[in-house]
Formats: sequence, C-alpha cells, structure tokens
Amino acid sequence: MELLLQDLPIAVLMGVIGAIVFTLIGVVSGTDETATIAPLTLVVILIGVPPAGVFTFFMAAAISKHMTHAVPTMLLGIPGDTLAVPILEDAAKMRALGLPHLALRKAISGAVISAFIAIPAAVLFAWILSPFGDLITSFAPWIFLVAAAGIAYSSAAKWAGVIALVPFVAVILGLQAWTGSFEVSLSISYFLGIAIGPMIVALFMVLVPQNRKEMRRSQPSHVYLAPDVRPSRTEGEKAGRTFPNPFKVLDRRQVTATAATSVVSSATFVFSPVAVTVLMGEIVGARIKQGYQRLTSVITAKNGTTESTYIAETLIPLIAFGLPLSPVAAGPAAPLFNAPPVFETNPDGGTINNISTHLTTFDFFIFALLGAVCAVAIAYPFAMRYAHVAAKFVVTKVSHEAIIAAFVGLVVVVSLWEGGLMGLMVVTAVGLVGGMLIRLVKVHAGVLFMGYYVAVLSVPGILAAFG
Amino acid sequence: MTRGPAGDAAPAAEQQGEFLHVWGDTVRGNKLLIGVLVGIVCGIVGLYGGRAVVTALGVEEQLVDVWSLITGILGCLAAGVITARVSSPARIISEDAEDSGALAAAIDELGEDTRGLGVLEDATDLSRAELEAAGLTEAFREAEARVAARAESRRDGGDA
Repeated sequence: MELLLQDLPIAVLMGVIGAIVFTLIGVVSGTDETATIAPLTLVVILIGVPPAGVFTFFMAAAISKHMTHAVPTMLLGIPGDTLAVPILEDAAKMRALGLPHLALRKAISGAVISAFIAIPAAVLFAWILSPFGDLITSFAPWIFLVAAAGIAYSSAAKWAGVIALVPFVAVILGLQAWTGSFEVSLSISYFLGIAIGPMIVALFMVLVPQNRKEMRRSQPSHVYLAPDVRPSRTEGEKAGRTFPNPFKVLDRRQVTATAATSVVSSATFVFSPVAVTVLMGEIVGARIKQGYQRLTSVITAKNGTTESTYIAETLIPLIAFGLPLSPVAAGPAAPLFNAPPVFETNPDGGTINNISTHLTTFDFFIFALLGAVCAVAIAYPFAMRYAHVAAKFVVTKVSHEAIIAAFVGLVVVVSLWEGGLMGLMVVTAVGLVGGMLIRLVKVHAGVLFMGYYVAVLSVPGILAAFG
Repeated sequence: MTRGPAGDAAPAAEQQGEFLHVWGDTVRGNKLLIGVLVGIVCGIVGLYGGRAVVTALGVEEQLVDVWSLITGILGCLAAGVITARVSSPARIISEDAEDSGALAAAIDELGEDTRGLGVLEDATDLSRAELEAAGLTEAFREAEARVAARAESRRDGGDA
C-alpha cells in the first residue's frame, strides 16, 4: 500500500498525459493502436517512468483513444483506428439518418460505462484463470484456431468464411516468409491492410474503365444533417456547462446491453478484439425489434466492447500469466512485456521481467481505474460537447477526396515507417485480398484479424507441437 | 440549408455524369486523383523530411523513429487540408428531413435487416424522443406504413 501511494503522483501525471495525447490522436483517422500506443508507451518506458506510471499511461491512452476514435468513424465514415472498423457500417446508417452526432454521443457513452465495468471483470477473470496459466499457455495455438473458425462461421459468409480463412492465412504466411528472408518482421502493415482493405479495393476498382462506368453518378450524394438532438436539454440541462452524464444519453436497455457485453467480452481474451466487437453487436441486435433502437443499441454496445476487449486483453495476460497471451498483449501492449533493456519476456529462456513482475493484482486494479478516470475526465466531455459542431463542419467543409487523400497518405506513411517498400507492398497485397474477401465473400474484418493471429500464433505453435 | 457541390461548375458536371461513387460517397475523378497524389507526396515528405529534421536536431536515435511517425501523420493531415482546399464537398446537404430524398431509403434500409423495421412503440421513450427532436418520427411512421402495405399485398398475392 505504501508503494502504491508513493507511485500515485507519477501515475496521475502519466494518466493525464496519456489521456490528453490520445484524446487528440484518436480524432485522427486511421491511427492504428499498435502504430501509436505501442511506440509512445515504449518511449515512456525508455525515458525511465516507473511501472505504475507506464501502466496508467497505457490504460488512459487506450481508453481515451477508443472514445475519440468514434469522432472520425461516426462523422467522416472512415475508421478512427482498427477497432473502429466494425462500427463503420452502423455509422453509415446513422449518417444517412442525419444523426452522426447522436451516434457519436451514444458510442462514447457506451465506452465510459464499459471501461468501468470491464476493469473489475477482467481482474476477476484473471484471478480465476491464474491457477490454469500453464494449461492455457499450452493450448493457446489451438484456442486461437478454433476461435477463428467460430468467428468466421458466425459471419454472413458462414462456411465460405471458414474456407476463405485457409487461403488468407496462406497469403499472410507467404508474405511473412518473404519479408522474413530479408530479416524484416511486420505486424502493423497487416492490421492496416485488413482495416483499409475496402478503400484499397475501391481505389483499384475506379482504375478499371468498365467499373468506372458503373460507379458514375449524375448527381452528388444527398446528405441530411439533423439538428442537434439532445432531448435532455428540454429537461433544463444546460448543454456544455455540466459534465455529460452517460446515463442520460443511453436508456436503461442500452446501459444493460453494454454492461452485459462488457462482462462477456472481458472473458474472451484470446479472440481478436475486432471479431468480439462484431459478435457482441450481433448478439445485442438480435434481441431488438425496432430498427432505430437496434441501430443505436448496437453502436453503443460495439464501442463499449472496443474498450472492454482492450482492457481485458491487457489485464488478464499481465495478471494471470505474465506472458503476452492475447492479440492486444502481442500488439499495442507489447512494450509492457518487452522493452529492452527495461523489460524482457522470454519464457523459453526463463526470463520474465516485465510490468507484471513489478505490480501486484491490486496495483493493476487501482492504476487501471486511475487510467479510466483520467480518460473519462478528459476525452468524454471533449467529444460530447463538440459532436454536432464537428459533424456540421465535416459534411459542409471536408470533401470525400480530402478524406481519401489523408487516408492514402496514412497508409503510405505507416507502412513505409514499419517496413519500407516491403511494408508498402504488404499493406497493398493484404488490403487488396482482404478487401475483396470483405466485399465478395462477405466476411467481416474480424474474421481476417483472427486469420492473421492464426498465422502468427497458431501455425508456429501447431507446427512445433507436431515436430 | 441546401448547398450546391461546386458553385457554377456543378450543373455542368452533373449533366456529364462526372461524379463517381467511391468508398461510400461521391467524388470527382480528377479531384480524387489529385487527392491521392497529394496524400502520397505529403506522407512521404512528412515521414522522411521529418526524420531528416529530427536527426539534424540531434534527437536520440531510439526516438527518431517515433518522431518521424508523428511528422508523417502530420503530413497526412496536411494532405487532407490541401485537398479540402482544392475540392469542395460533392454533397448536397440539407437540414430539413423532407428535403432529403435519401432519408426514406435510409429508413427502409433499416427494415432490410432480418429483424425488420419494427414499430416505434417497441422503441424506448428516449429513442422516440430523439427521433421526435430530429424531426424523423413522421418519416419512420411512413416507412412502417410502407412495410405494412408490402406485407398486405404479399398476403393478398398469396391468397390469390
């Protein structure tokens, strides 16, 4: 307890810094979590911030980002980051109704509720799973494989989705072997390729003369922007002056659905967060009859799940195993496990010196809550207050060409940054193949993300098991 | 408020069918090409130019990579701003629900879900209040009527 109190000031400071920085980064379209949270967390570790400060920074960053990532997703129709991809289609429907600002408020309110439920739930699941650490570690490759098949079957593609996983995994393995022969190891380029696949396919299609004829329109699109909808205003609330209340933005059914999906998704820590987000949306939507109620509830639950999966997939591997045994732990949270010379995790070599060896379960719980408080205090009012103003600005001032320009630039920057020309080729190849699978085979991005994890986590483990 | 897409040039462009529907919205082909090129150039200048500047400033080697990513992302934002300056949105924007011909289609699309459109009585008080405040209640009622009429005609066809 003394150590906890001693670390509290630096944890608060780092939580506030993480929340401010990632509230702003979240607003920038396509800023993949692994490309942004991982390197900045690495910087924080390398400059000598104590473990409590590092962990609070990471949690505040992830939670803030998954609130403000809803801004470009809802308003522009391009994903704020990888986890925003499953919400795109629902966001498009809300924009068509002229209610992107309301979609934004629902989404971030769901994130607030989910963050505070997922933290205790994840700590509880981690505590339950701790005694089975070795068993789960040995079965992990098979668990990823079965989860991928299950998620693929649950998509609209059904068996076609399961079968499509095989060539997709083969493509990933082939690209990895190719870049590996030049001693280049990539990950973000794959995430980015899957996330922006549909845009890459659209840009390729417009290059084909016959497709271009079919894509021609005599009129620009018609966009309806509804007035600023805030029913609570009529009950005397002065908008913008008080701290927003998620329980006024969401009705009881939406709060219950978000809470339930947060708890369930906290337990599915080996699944791709994108896949779990899609799945939770399907489960919530299946129970609601009225179209608008269904759409807003699905958006709320899905964005809540983006928080709960990240929280659980960070906390459970740290508390229960001390090993990066989840997609998030192997990606954006990787520096918490490996940041030489400060942290190093090599179970085969018997070295486990990571953030889990410096903090207790209670420390993790307290500093995760602190990170959530910092994120909610900064990101939530920011996004809530400016939702309608931002929506109006975007539809009237920002052309779709400008959005595509920024996004093409981002694809080029992130892939070149990670792997030079090879990164650019990987992002293009994965984007084209993945985008066509999404468009033609009707799998969702979550299936492809699971395919990626099968390639990097299951295949090597299964091959090793068979000698 | 109703806004034309590109001032005086817009009607001529519409007659020639010069808009393209790309990735969920309409664009003009030549402006899209400019945007893509600006995005690539600004991204590369931001990434490698930023790396050169940061290195020249004597930043630690481990941090040069992180800073070059940040300057690269700033380059992408610059690409968005530059392209937004040279291309006005190819959208007709309306703040009146009845002005937008697409609204009815958007509500009908909600009904294409396997669970259907349903009726407003199944929605919560808050959802109904949101639709009322947005001026969409009537549009949803009309869509419910269309669904009911279609169901009725299918029943009649079946009986016949």
